[in-house]
Order: sequence, then structure tokens, then C-alpha cells
Amino acid sequence: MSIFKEVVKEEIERQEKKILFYSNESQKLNPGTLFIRKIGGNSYAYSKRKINGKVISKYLGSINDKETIKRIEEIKEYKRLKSNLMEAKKELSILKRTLRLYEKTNWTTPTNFWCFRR
Amino acid sequence: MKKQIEQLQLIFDVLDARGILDNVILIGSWCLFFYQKIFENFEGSIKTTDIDFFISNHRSKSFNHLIINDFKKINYDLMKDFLTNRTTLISQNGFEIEFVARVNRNKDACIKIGESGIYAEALNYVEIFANNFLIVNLFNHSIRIASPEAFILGKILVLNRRKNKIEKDIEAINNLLSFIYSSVQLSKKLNDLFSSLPKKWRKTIKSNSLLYGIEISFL
Repeated sequence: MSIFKEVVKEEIERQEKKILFYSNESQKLNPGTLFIRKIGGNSYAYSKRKINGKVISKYLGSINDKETIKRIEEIKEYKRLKSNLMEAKKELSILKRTLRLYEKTNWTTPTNFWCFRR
Repeated sequence: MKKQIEQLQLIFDVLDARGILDNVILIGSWCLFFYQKIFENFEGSIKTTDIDFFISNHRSKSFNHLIINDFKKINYDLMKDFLTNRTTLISQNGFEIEFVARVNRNKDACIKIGESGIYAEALNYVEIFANNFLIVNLFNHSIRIASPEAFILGKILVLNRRKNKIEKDIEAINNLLSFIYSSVQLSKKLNDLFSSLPKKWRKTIKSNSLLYGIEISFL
């Protein structure tokens, strides 16, 4: 098997592992999205989630509360994981397309290539 | 490639900030990137997004739980295999970082690195890197990387266990080997390292070289 094909396959496996990891980790959190309301000069944090097609807002507390800060951190972490998940999915589809194209056309392997990162 | 180099720098920043840079040796295909920086006329092709570090002293107190937090700040998550305990640091825009250590007396598959929560994969033959490394000054850090001779012999030693990666490894070995043979000094170093290895290892190197058609000559 060509080195090129092996490298692509290895990268595909890696991306699949990442997708599994990011989706599991983000499911553990799933705190919804964060929004902050200013009421009477103070800022209050709310989380927004869609449940059965309905948007439900939940009051978290003043943004200075320890508990609220923790929840805000959780929401940020969730966002980071979700964005990584999206990236991994995109990368996987590019890699799969590359492999399909390679198998279809059997193009000449580039001699000095990097791992197909944009 | 520019992105990868930026990521590489971030990794070394974290390792240096935690004071563990002296305790890790870069092994694996990313060594080729450093050889390009050290040796003129050497061109190596790097084809992986994983980066491997050999831990020389896994009991060091510098390895604490803060390392994982530091890596998280640069978008690296700790992924754990619950069957083997093996951990990997993964990042979507960076590398997959793996740690390896020498096999201990209990022959554990994975070894805990300090109090960091990271587990290194225990592998045979990796002690070849413990005393055979180069110190490269790059990204404002003194980075330890496997010496070219240790890189070659280390790869040959494990060739028969590499399954799908054999072709890639053979290509890397042959490429680096032809460069080593173009220099008298490097050829001597390769021979010296080979002679210093245990008899069993030398036998494995010779049989694997023969089996996979690697043209390596030892005095």
C-alpha cells in the first residue's frame, strides 16, 4: 500500500477518535448558550437551551457569583469543544474525499508532502 | 507547515514553563524537522500530526496536575483509554501528543508520569534515546531531540511491530541513512552507538535490516 494512502488512513482514524472524544465530552456538559442581561446597573447571566423546539431561558445569577462564574466557564468549555468537534468533522470529510479521489484516480504520490492541513 | 511550527512552539513553551523540558526527549518523525534545522542539505518529509516524547524520569516532581491545565489553555485535551490507561493530548488545530517511557519491572503497559494524570506508554528499546540526544536551541528553548543515529537504530529495532507504518518508516530510515553515510563523523557515531548496544539488540537490528532491505553496514 502506498505511503500516501497509509498517511491519509491514519489521519482519518485520528479524526474519528477526536470526533468521538469531543462529542462525548460536550454531551457531558451541554449547558446551552450564555447571555447576559443588564438590569439596574447590574449584570446577570442566563443560559438558553432549546428543549422540544422551545427556547428555555434559565437564570444563573449575578455574574460576580462564584457559582455563576463556574457555569460561565462550563459554557465556554462547551463552546470550545463544539467548535473543535465541527472542525474535526470538516477535516474528516476532506480526508475522506482525498482518499476517495486517490483511489479513483490513483494519482502519483507527492514526494514531499505535509499532512493535508490547510 | 507554518501553523504546525507555531503549535510546536506553543508545546515547548508549556513544557519549559513547567520546568520539564530537560526531562523530555523528542523522538519520532518530528525529529526530522529539527535535523533540517541542524544539518545543511538534509531534507526530510514529515507526514504525521502526532508528536512523541520520551520521558527520561517519570518520577520527577515537576510533573504535576497543572500541566494538563496549561495544555488546555492552548486547546489540548487529555484523552484517556480506559482499557490501557494510556493518555494522549489531542488538539483540533495542533498535534496529538504522546509520551513514552521505558518498561518498568512490573511490565506495566502504561506508566504514570509524576502526579500529572498523564500516562506514558511503556515501550521496549526506547532507552536508546536516554543517552543519545542532541540539544537544539530553537524557539528560545533548549530542546532535546533524539540523535540521528539513535533515531535510525530505534526505528529499525521496532520495525517488525509497526504494521501499517512500515513503509513510511523504511522511507524515513533510508532517507536519513543516506545522509548519515555522506558524513564520516555521523557514520562513525552510528557505528559507535551500534557497538555499544546489547548483543540481543544488535541481532534484532541486523535481522530487521536484512528482512526489510535496509542497506546499513556495521564494522
